[in-house]
Formats: sequence, structure tokens, C-alpha cells
Amino acid sequence: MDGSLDGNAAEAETVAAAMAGDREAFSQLVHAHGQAVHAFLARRAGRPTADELLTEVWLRAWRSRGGYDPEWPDPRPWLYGIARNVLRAHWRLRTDGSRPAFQLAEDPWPAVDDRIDAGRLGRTLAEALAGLGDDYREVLLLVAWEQLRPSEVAVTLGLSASTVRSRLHRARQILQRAIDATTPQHPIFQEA
Amino acid sequence: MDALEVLNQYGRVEPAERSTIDAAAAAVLTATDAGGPRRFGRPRRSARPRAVWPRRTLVVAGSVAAATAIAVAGVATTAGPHRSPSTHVATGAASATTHHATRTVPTPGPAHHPAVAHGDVAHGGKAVLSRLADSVLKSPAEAGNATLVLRSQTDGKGAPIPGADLYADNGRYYYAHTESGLPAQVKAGHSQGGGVFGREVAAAKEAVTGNLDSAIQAMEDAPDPTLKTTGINADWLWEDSLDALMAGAGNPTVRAGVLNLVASLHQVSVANATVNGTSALQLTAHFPNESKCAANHIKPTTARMKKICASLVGGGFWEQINLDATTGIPLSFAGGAPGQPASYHITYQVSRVTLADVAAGHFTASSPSTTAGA
Repeated sequence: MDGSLDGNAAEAETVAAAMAGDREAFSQLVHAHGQAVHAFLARRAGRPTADELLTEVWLRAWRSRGGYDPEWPDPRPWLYGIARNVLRAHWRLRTDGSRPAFQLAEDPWPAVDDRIDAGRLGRTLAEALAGLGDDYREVLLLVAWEQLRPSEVAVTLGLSASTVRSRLHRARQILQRAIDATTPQHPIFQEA
Repeated sequence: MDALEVLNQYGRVEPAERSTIDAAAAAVLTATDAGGPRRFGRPRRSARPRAVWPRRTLVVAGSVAAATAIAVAGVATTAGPHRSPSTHVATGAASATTHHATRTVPTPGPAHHPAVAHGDVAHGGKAVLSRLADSVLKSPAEAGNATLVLRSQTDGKGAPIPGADLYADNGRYYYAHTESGLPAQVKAGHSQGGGVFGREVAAAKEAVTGNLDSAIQAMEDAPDPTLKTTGINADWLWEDSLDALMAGAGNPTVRAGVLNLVASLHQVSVANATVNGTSALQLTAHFPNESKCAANHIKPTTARMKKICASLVGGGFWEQINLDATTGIPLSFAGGAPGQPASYHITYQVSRVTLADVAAGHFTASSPSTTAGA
């Protein structure tokens, strides 16, 4: 899966074989996209939970491979959709029956840019994201974190691309306002 | 600063350990093919390889071995329905084990429980499932704090694919390709369960302790409340019930609940069978490939129902599970496409263990006094 034309063709063949029921091919998909799916889970629920749920996501993907549209060139958006459902089921089954309040993953910025007050901005981001609500937040996160295009987000969330674009535009505006309201006061933005 | 750019920096996470990825890949390699090409409106909920339990080194306690197998009248396919009081249950594809294995296995009901004699049920066998459920409920509580399921799957082509599932009573789940890999998983606290079958197990219990209709609804998890109790989700009820049976194999209440639930399905037929010398009830479910709404004579009355019905073209598979006629424990499993022979077979081996023993690599029975043949 090297991104070249040959690589893309090879991946397309692997995806086609996997979705047709070839276990070995499906196993190759796990190795090719396992990190991406794990990261999806880890960003939203933390690494321990991602470790717990990763196998479940892939088993569900295997089981529901009949629902994969061969027209989709990249399986990741489809896999993220399954991962999202697994995560929601996981939260639904919490002993207290509640879904945890949205929060950014722990230690989200391992290589913290020392010019920025990561903690302060992080709180601002978290509050703004929490205020967005699921529908808008997930669109934003899929674009920012999973680097999906709106058409791919549409696959993940089962929405139309136009709906995704609309939500992305609005969510981005809200988040931008929150950031702008915070950052101008920070010393790094003051003139030297 | 651009919002997406800032947010992107908060999305950096440490990569997964390679072993975590490998475990997921191994799980796919050993998963059942029951899902197959699927056109349902949602992912199949069966998350893990379905288990059936061929046993091996199981200890028999003669004091309880007098429990009698449940049988369906008139449709016996092989041997008579009654178990020999002295018959041990350790038959099947007795694979060599890495660890010394002396374990408890789910026990049959008490010896004084009246036998359901051959000929006790006229036809069909649904009532016999309820009868078996009653018998299973009278089983004593199982020793140990986890259920170990060793399975072997084959599609008739390659070598059998093993798998070792450890379902802890506390909801945690550990997987290893083979039994020998479990101690490391348990010691590392590497649970992969995440409460995966929590809903299914709870629904199975409700089928015993609560209202059956509510339990059916809880198990089938209908996509729309208006479609509940219509039978449209019969295939989901079947699939999820078997998932509960696997995760809750060591719990008599769960086994009994599953029996009650599948007894409600008209798509399921019941016959007698023998699996490696053990009397069994053979449950076969057929779900044709057709519009689920049409198949259930459902006329959608709302736009939402029309949309759902349009997406629910499903089924397209048959599955068959053999349950121990005394304990309700799965023995073997098979399935395939409608009208086609089985495309996969699985055998299972179930025992009760303690997590501490597994972590220590002992797999020894926690309470030999409760050990019994199933």
C-alpha cells in the first residue's frame, strides 16, 4: 500500500479480495489499516480502550463486509464508521449507562509546541467541541484527525456529501471563533 | 491559527503495539464466515467467532451424571436420547493441550430432576427447548470465575484454525490464537472485550428472570421501535442469542435464556443428534435471502419504515448448532448459504476456570467437587 499507481492497484485488489471473503486478504487489510483504526479509537476514547476495541472493530468489519461498496477506493471511511458504532456500543454499555463527556485524549500533544499554551488552548478546544454536539463534532474530527475528505466523511457517517460540507463549514466557524477568542491574549501573539 | 490545523495537532496519538494489530488480524483469520455477503442495514452484531464445544479432558462426577438428556420425540437422528449415567462427556476432537487441563465444566441439572423421556414431546421440538431450559436452570452455580472456550474451525479446505476465548464473569474478554497464549494476555490485562456481549447476555438473562417479549426486543435490538415484535429481526435475534450463548456458556441462566429465546423463532427447527457420542439437540435456522418486510408480511406505513424495509433485504444463510441435550452447552456449529452445503464447521470445548489459574498457566479446576460431565 505504497500510494503509487501500482500500490493503489494492489490495494484495490486486496480490498476486493478481502470483501469477497478472502481471509488472508482481510488480514492484510488489518495490518495495512489497523494503526489508523486504532488511532481513531484512541483519539476518542484513549489508548487502553482502543486496545480493547480494536479486535472488535475488525471482526465486525469482517462480518459486515457484504455492505462494502466496491466503488469506495479506500476502506478507511467505511472502517471508521464501524469503529464509531463499536465505540458508541462500548459507551452505551458502561456500567453507569452514560457516555463520557467529550474530552480530548490524554496527553494529546506529545511534542508540544512551546510557543503555545497547550493546556489553555486544549481546554478551549475541548469546550468548543463539546458544545458542538455529536453531529457537527464528528464531521470536524474526521476531517482534522483522520484527514478525510467530505465525500469520505459522508461514507463514514452515512450522510450526503452536501450535508457534510454544510456541517463542516458551521463547525469550523464555531471552533475558529473559540480559538480566536482565546489566542490573541496569549503572550506569543504579542508583538516582541 | 486555523481551527483544523490546531485541532489536528491534538489528534496525535501513540501508535498501537504490533501485538494489538496482530491479535486483530488473527481474530479475523479465525472468525466464522456466518456473516458472509450481507445486505442488512447494519453491521452484523456477531462479533466473535461463534463457539461450539467439543470437549476433551473433562472430569465426570458420577453423583450428578444421572441427569437425563432432553430429546425431541420422533425425530431422533442417531442414538437414543438418554445419556448413559456413566458416560463422560470428554469426546470430540480431543486436541492436545499445551497446559495440563483439569477443569470444571458446566454441570447438568440435579439428579432428582425428572427426565424428559424420549417421546415426551410430540413434534417440532420447540417445547423441548423450554424443557431443557428448565432443567439447565436447576444446575448448580459453576465454579471458577471465567469460561474458557477452545474452538477449532475448518472450511474443509485448509487445516483447522484454532482459537481460544476466555470470557471472564466480570465482563472482560481475552483472546489468543491458542490456549498457550492466554496466560500472557491475562497477566497483561489485555482484555479485548469492552463489554462486547453485555447487551446480549443481559437480554438472555432477562428471558429467564423477566418478561420474554421484553427480552426478545432487547436481544433483537430493532432499528425502529415500530418494528419491534414484528419478527422482522428474527435473524438478529438468532445471531445475537448465539453470541450470548457463547459469552455466557458458563452461566446456566444465560444458557436457559437463550433456549427460551430461540424457541420463539419459527425459523428454527429442532432435531435429535449425537455429537461424538453425546446426545444433542440440533437447532437449525434458515433465513432466506429476501425482503425481510415481505417475508414477515409487514407493510411499511411511514417513510421511515419504508426506508428501513428497503434496506432490510437480508438473510441468505442457514446455521446449525448442536447443543448438549443435558446442559445446553454448544458442541458444534455449521453454516452456509441457502441451499448449499456447510461452508464452515466449528467445534468447541468449554470449561470453567479461574483467571488466576489461567494467568499462572495452570488451567486447573477451581473446585473439583463441582466437576461434572455435561
